[in-house]
Amino acid sequence: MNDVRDSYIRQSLKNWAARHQLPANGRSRLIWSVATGRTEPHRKQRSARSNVRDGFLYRTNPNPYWDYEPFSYTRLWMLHMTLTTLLHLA
Amino acid sequence: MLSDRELIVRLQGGSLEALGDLYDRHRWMVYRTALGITSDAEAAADLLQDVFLRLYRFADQFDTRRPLEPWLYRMTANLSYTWVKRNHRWLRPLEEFADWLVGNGKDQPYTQAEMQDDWQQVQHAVATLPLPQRVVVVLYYLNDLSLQEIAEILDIPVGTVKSRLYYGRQALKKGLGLHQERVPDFNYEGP
Repeated sequence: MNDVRDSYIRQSLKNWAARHQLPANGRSRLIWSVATGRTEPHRKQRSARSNVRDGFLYRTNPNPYWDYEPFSYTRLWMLHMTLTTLLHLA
Repeated sequence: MLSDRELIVRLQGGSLEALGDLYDRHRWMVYRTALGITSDAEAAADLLQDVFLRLYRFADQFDTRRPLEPWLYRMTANLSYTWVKRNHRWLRPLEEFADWLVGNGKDQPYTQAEMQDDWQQVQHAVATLPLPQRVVVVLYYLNDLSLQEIAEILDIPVGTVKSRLYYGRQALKKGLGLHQERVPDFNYEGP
């Protein structure tokens, strides 16, 4: 089944894959997940329905092991602005 | 250096060091396979973690007389398959509809010219294959597995593997314009 075109497809695919870097600290993140019996924090920022990263619920703390906070700074700020506006109108 | 079997035995005893060693040894193979099937680097990174978390979780049930790699391939293919099905159930018809609206871009010469690298063209062609064919193509071309090994990993007859590979190759060659005798030069860059 091997011919020149097969070799071309094979090497092109390998070249494409080689351009991607393996995730950094994968081993330590894996062991951390197992040791703590928890899934990774960044998974919680993904929408359960579509499994895509939810832009609104972004991580405010750069620490990857920081737990997701349901009341992010953005949400608190929006809540503050809404309540302030309503109080001024009242 | 410990063998996979010895590391699995240690893993069954709860050794996280053994899990880390197995991860270091097989991570590229798992990541590359997931990347080939999903065409999504972030998803491949997540699946890489998932595969080894499941290895840890199901280590007790693992038969140490059997090799580890087919199990890793099978788990990676299954999880990647599930990921693609879940994420492209609604997206694919929309993409096809958008393609239909703007016309068939493959027939336009500038589309090929825009894709500068061979590897990008091939990856794009693989990503458009039907999922069963894509899994076989990735295992065969990207991981250099034999038809027999692929059949055992996917738990399907060798004839089915041959059939999927045949149609996958035809689609790739058609998509890449490889029916002509001239094949572009290439250099291997990867590890």
